[in-house]
Amino acid sequence: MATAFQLRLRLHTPVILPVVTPRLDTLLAEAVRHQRLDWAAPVDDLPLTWDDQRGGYRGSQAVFGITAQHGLVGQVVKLPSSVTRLPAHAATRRNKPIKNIKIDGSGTAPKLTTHHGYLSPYLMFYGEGDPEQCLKLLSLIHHVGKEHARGQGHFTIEAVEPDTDEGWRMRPWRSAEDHASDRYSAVPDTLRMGLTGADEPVYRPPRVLKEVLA
Amino acid sequence: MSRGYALLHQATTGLRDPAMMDTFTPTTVSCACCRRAWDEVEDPGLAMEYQYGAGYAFESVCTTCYTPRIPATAMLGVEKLARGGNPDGGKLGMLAGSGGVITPAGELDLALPQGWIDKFQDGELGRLGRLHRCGAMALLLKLHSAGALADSHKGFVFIENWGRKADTLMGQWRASFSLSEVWCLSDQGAEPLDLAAMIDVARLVHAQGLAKKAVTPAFWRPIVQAAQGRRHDASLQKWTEALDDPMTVLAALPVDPHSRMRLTPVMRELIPLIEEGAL
Ligand SMILES: [Zn+2]
Repeated sequence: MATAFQLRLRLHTPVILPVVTPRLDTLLAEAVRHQRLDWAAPVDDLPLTWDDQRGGYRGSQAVFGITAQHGLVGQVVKLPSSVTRLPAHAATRRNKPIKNIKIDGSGTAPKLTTHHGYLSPYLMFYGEGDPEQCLKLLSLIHHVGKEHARGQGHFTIEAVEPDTDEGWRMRPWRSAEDHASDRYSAVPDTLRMGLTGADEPVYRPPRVLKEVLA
Repeated sequence: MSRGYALLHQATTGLRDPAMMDTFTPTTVSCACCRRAWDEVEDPGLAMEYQYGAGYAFESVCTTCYTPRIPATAMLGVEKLARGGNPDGGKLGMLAGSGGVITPAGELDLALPQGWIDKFQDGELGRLGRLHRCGAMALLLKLHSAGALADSHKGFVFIENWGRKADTLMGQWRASFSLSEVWCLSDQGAEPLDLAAMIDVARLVHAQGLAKKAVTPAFWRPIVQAAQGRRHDASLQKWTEALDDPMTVLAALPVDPHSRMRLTPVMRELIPLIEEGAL
């Protein structure tokens, strides 16, 4: 029996949003791959309701949860970009190969890439399906967003509660009417609806959504 | 994802004279700049050679990513006379500090300072009246008011600053589909801006007689500091007291804190347009 739920995560480090905001279905698919130790096989058995009419999983994109005391904060995160590519970088410099690497950079200092991070007390996902299975899967991963391998977007699971407002609608749909919310106006885009398939015209929520928690 | 590149390619077709383009069949997997596979780029299977600097290896980039490096003598005009009196065509990638817009119809308009307009007025874009003496954002809104972005679901491209680093600019090149999420492209990368919310805010503060104050950093400081995580309740309180109707302004602010941090510079662009009646 599928139920609608709100999944509340406690956020510890800023999330760096990719161009497409992470969604519950994409996050769960990543967890399934971790569980199977297989990053190539297609995932088609998520514990979420598949909406046949609309052609997508009933799982929302990430929503920043704020409180009266703590709002949504924008942080500038600077991470070294070219250090990991130093051998390749050295190889491209034909005349002046890098001979030694110092802590503060070598012949060329490591470049820092500036990312926009978002920090709020909570990060929420809404879904319809089996919340217990979702929790089990999410316990396998601890980070969300870009640069997750370098500690960005660190979360722990806070709570899962029943949802009455069809929060799962906050994700891309083929029709603008499927965004029943009056909290935002849908943005046209071209994205794939499911985990695989081709890009198609969709209407999606803005990249950054926030919600005040009591 | 490719729509932005397709628009640039369409807008600059005249610039890529096949006789002048030294294309070759690449041996790499994808364009070194936009990372798209060679069968996904606008001129499939055709690459141009690019070198970051002396001593660096040659890289294969697609013709679209190479476009800002092509001298646009016919499209723009002559930038300067090189040694020996040969004319050097202006390049899109050398218009540092200037911006541009590609409309959904695939037409390029440039926002330039007067000096460049004088230089380029006899070029193709100059004769078509597509060189504008204004800021990049003012140009975008001018085109919006004129209805040139009406088909925004087909995408448009907003170049906030052509900058000096064409590889970063082209690597993150992308189309926008709505004023509520305008991707501002520059040689620093691509950042989204909720321009629709910014316009609402500008109209509201203008209507409340705060047009002069709202272009100063001091006015927005409590909001910007809160967006940066340095919320100061007393100054926020003082800020709300300065407005007739603070709640409508607060509700109209962009949700994205990174957009909020740009309130002052964006208001400096928008409020003069509202005062002129152009917005
Ligand atoms: Zn390319």
